[in-house]
Amino acid sequence: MIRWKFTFDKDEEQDWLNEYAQRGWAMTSFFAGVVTFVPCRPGEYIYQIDLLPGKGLWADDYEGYVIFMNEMGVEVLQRWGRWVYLRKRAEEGPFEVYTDAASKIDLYRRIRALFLWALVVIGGCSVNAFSLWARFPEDMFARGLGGLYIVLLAVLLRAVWQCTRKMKSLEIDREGEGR
Amino acid sequence: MENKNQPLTEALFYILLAVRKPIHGYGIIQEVSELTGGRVNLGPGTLYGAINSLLERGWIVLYSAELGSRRKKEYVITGEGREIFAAELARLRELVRNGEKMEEEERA
Repeated sequence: MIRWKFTFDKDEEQDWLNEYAQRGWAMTSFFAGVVTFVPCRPGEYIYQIDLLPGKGLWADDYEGYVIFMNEMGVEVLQRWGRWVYLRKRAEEGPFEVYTDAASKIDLYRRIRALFLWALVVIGGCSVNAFSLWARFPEDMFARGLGGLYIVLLAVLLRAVWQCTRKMKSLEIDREGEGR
Repeated sequence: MENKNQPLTEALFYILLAVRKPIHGYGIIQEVSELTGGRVNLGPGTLYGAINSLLERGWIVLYSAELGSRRKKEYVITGEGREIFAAELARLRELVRNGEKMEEEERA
């Protein structure tokens, strides 16, 4: 079974994958928003999405990460840039990649830095499109392209804001962990 | 990332305690869970990030990593790591000592 998913919210996507797993559909691969599922026992797997440390699109030490996760009984299903899709059999117990506020904050900080990086790159690319639009305000192509950039930049800005909001609420939890 | 003068997170405290003898990643999770009666269960991502940050700070080192073999990577605490741990323990003892004044005064 194939489904289409486009979101900049990894928590939303993770919940979505786990809902499918609960209903007996196990995600097996992800490519550019196209998600493939195969039948499984309902609730057989727990899915988690992680962002590898690194810069821009390039991850640090992916091989080391995979070996480490495999030693923990975690399957690294798919890599998409620095994003990784992980799963573990539910019968082996609860599965959460990050279990304390400090490491969750680090994760959202990495995600936010990635989106900020994308904002700068896409913002840079949008300059030409906007100047084209300014020169030919009636042209459908220039309008479409400019509009597409506006939507993309707005979605990315929202994603950055969401990360900041999640980090702030985790900061409150961290007070309770003694720091 | 925390610096030397900040209190350790619970995760870092228990990881440093677990690596007092050479131990591999999964062993750390089990040891910490046993020590806390199942209260602290480290997630693999939390442990991965903590190990990398402790290695970077020189508080732990790789004890064995035989490439090409099936042997899992083991980690062990360094002298600096022990100093950090001792300083944290002293801070926690002070907290407990002072905290007990509350009970003593209530009894008096």
